[in-house]
Amino acid sequence: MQKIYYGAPGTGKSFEVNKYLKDNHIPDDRVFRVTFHPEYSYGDFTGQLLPTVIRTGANAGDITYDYAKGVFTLALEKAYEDTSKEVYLVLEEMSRGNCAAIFGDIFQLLDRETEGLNRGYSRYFVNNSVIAKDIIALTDDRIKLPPNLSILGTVNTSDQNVFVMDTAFKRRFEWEYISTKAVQNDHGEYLNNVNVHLNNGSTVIVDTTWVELYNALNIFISSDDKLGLGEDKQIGQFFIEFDTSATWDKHKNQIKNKLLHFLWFDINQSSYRADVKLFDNSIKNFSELYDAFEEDKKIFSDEFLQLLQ
Amino acid sequence: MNHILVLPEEFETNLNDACANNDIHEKWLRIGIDTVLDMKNSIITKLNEKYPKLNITGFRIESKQIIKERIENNGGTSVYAGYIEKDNGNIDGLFFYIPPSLNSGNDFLTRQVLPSLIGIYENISPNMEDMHFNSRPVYILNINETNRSEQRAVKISFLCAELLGFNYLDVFERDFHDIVTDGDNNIPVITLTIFNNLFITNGNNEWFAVNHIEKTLKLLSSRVTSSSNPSAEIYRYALKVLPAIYMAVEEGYRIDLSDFDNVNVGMFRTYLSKI
Repeated sequence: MQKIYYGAPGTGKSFEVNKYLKDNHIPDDRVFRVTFHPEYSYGDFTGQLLPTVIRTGANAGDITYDYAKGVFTLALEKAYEDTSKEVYLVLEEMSRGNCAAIFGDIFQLLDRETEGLNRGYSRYFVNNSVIAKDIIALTDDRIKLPPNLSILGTVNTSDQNVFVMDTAFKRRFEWEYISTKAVQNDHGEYLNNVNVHLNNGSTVIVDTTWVELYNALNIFISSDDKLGLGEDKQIGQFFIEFDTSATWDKHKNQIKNKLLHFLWFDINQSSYRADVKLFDNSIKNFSELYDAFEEDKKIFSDEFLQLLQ
Repeated sequence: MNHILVLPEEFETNLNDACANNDIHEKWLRIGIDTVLDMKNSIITKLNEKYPKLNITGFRIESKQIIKERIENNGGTSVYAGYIEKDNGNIDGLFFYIPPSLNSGNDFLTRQVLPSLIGIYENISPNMEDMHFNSRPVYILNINETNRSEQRAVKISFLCAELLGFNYLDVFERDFHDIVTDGDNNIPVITLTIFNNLFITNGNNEWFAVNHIEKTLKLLSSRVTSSSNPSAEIYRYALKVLPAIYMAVEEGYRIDLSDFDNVNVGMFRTYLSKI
């Protein structure tokens, strides 16, 4: 299986990956996880020579260079130990790394046979003696992915400064969208849901919940007749992870420091609409927004509050 | 990466008994081996030369019950089965040996290897996506000094093992490929046709039937059903037909199991139904 979970921030993509692994009783020693980032390289992914100090005395040592296997090589070795056991390579935040560079020639292994004795193995091999050297199931330096090695990835659809994933790379994965729709527990209660109070001074304008608030924000952000910024800018249920047993003061702090920062810099500043505003006209900058919310003043525009109510 | 060979105590007992037998010891001497230690060192050297990735550094004797549990064999314990252990204690492959002085022609190799493999398959088959019969690399060591290894029927068994992707090493370095080499001593790429020809006697192959026009491979049950010991016969049968199945699937042939409709072949059927 090669699957990428994608969606807005906080929709629970990593949670879905973990849930899948837990539901299928995959032990930790068969899960290999890495988070991509702009500096992550092919050498990090497959392996590279790294200096190691061998102590020769209290304050002395020799430097030697050992091959440090990357997460891909470790996962491949584990998979080939026993092809009856599932091994998972989990790649988080794939769009924060340059996938073409990170995968390099490994990209060629992502096409799998769909029939025959070698079903599930890579259709093509690549020669890589360094990756193959400790895998005794591979008789030479030709490497292929075995059928029991699955790759799961997560991609945020709204990240800035991300690397573009080319179509040739994308088509080698199944894609599963994780929507912004709120998730409930077995009793029908929304997860991660707390009460939210929006005031204008001493008057409570709106008593709502986090689920209602973020859903209203998503509509306001993406609708063409509102800010029209598209689905990429939406947020998920777990954008802020609340301690549901904590007080409003703590929740307020989290909303102030995380949500408002995102709404001002990533939403408000991105919008080209002069006639539709998320925040009240009295709010001129982030500092004022921050202080106003802290002092229980009105921060959202009437248009948004109408939508929320 | 280093590996250790983990084997049951019978392996050492067999070597000690063989060394104490004058006839066998004489055959050892012909290949430069005098003591049990020499034999063990020779095994390690030859394995590492033929399979450099193994880098075997020694042996460890383990109880056969523990070996059976570690390799997840749901069948009976085996005195011939062990495993290859990595530095970190994980199992990296299965290891079998054909013991000294074994004179049984019919069970040569099959008895040492197939019961454990079928027992393991019983355990792994529900979740296994890999279409091969084994999920770990298989190594087979032949330390049998008799001339059984030079008999055609036994050589066919070695060839079958090789075609299944098993790694085979004969300490006495006897070749078996002459059953398929051409006049210039070249080993051809083994096709289903060439493999089929190995089993034809008096115009018939009693194990399977290949139809090149309809592109079918029919497994024949008579060898199993007419045997006085069907449960043992299935091991001999499986070793011979599995390579045919592998080649047939690769060449796009359909596998016909109709001859086994009312024949109990246990876990082997589970594999056949997957194919």
